[in-house]
Amino acid sequence: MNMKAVIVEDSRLARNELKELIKKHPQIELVGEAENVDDGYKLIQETNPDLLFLDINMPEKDGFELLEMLDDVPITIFTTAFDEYAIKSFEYNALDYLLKPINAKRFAQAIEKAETKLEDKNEPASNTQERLTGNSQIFIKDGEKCWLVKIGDISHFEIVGNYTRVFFEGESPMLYKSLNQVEEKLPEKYFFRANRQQIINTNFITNVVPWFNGKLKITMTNGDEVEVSRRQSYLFKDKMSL
Amino acid sequence: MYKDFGIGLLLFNSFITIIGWTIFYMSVKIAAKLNANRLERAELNSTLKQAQLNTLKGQINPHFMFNSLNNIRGLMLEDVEKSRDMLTKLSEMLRYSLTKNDVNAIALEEELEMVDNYIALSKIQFENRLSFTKEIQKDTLDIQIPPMIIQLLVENAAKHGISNLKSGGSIKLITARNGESLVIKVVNTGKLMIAQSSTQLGLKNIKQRLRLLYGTSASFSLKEENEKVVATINIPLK
Repeated sequence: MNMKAVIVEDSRLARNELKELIKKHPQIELVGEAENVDDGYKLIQETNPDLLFLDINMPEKDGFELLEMLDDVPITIFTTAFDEYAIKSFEYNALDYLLKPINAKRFAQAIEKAETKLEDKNEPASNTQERLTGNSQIFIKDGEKCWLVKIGDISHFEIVGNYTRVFFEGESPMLYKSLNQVEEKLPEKYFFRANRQQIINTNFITNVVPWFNGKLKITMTNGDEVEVSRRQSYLFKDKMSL
Repeated sequence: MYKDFGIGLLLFNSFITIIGWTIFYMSVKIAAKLNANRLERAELNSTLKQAQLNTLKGQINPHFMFNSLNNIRGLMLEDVEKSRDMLTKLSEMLRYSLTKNDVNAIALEEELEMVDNYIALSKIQFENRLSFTKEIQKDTLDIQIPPMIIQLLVENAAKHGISNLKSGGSIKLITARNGESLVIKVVNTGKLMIAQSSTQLGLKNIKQRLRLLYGTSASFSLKEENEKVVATINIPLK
């Protein structure tokens, strides 16, 4: 399977090293390289790659910060010299990583894994759309912990001050974006704004009951209860054709 | 009766003598024991101090070592001669850190060779993002200093100064005699900010080694002056 790839790495020689390894895998098309996070961010916005080779230690912003900036994180392979601590901070759906100097066999394995992930991720929908899909993944870093979460695995979002708490598989880290910012990007197909505070994934609903004042009360799979505002209740009934 | 008394007295006398001797014997024993304890403790302390010094003495930073090896691999694709040179420099650094581990002092000149190796290897990582200059007073070259201490200062300057700057910066090393002490200064571009993630291991290491070796007569300071970070070490010339 053909993959478009970019390299974000501050050492020019380390980039050369990677390019040399990539040459052995003709299915990878290198579409660009960047030497810091800001240039890397622009490059990814422009080229929309399938695969990202990412160094962790870079000037001003590190590799994790780049992932946080992205709305949709490509399949990512970290390249690092010696950074057990950073690699260990992944709590959920670990990203792949390669240790420099990179072993050619390990590199081939990582590429194979990336190809499998890409097959799972690929959807018929075109890549030009603004909104994410259920298979898009977002990167969340809350304190020392990191998560890479598929949008489709998130059950709901909740406002906390200016930020948003994300609920999935028993975890609930804080995402440093506002709920409105999050809403703009979410696939409308199954994400629904229940009220001012919450957005829910309709795939994670177990029960809906009428509540007073024409409102609805929804029970989520994790047991959380969400009250749908009156205005949104009409929309909800419409959407679910209740 | 008199005889009886005499025997009693004799017995009493011998008893006192025996007790006296016992006490004397015991005190000698205890004194010896105490002395042995004290010696043992002193020995233990100096072993502990040595052990502390040994662990404090710099090992090569693994991050630096693996990055260097990776960069040399990349360099081989474009400049074999330079790659060979870099491998030798890295080997010298490894040898230095392995063999100088049981030495407490080394000529400043020898340490400078290591710093030059470190800079050369850092330059293939940072390329034109790093510029390095030095001002070494000739009469400082044969002064004995703890090994890896300038190296650690330069490493800190590269790690916290240069590697955090997109467009890079400069590092300057100065050594001079100042009255009864040697002054080592490392000045780098950048701001003095203690990153939250930083363990400050390097700095703690330097301070602790200076304290163990020179007590309070050596000093270390880290300051920000006109957009530059200045690290200064003063070591007594004895």
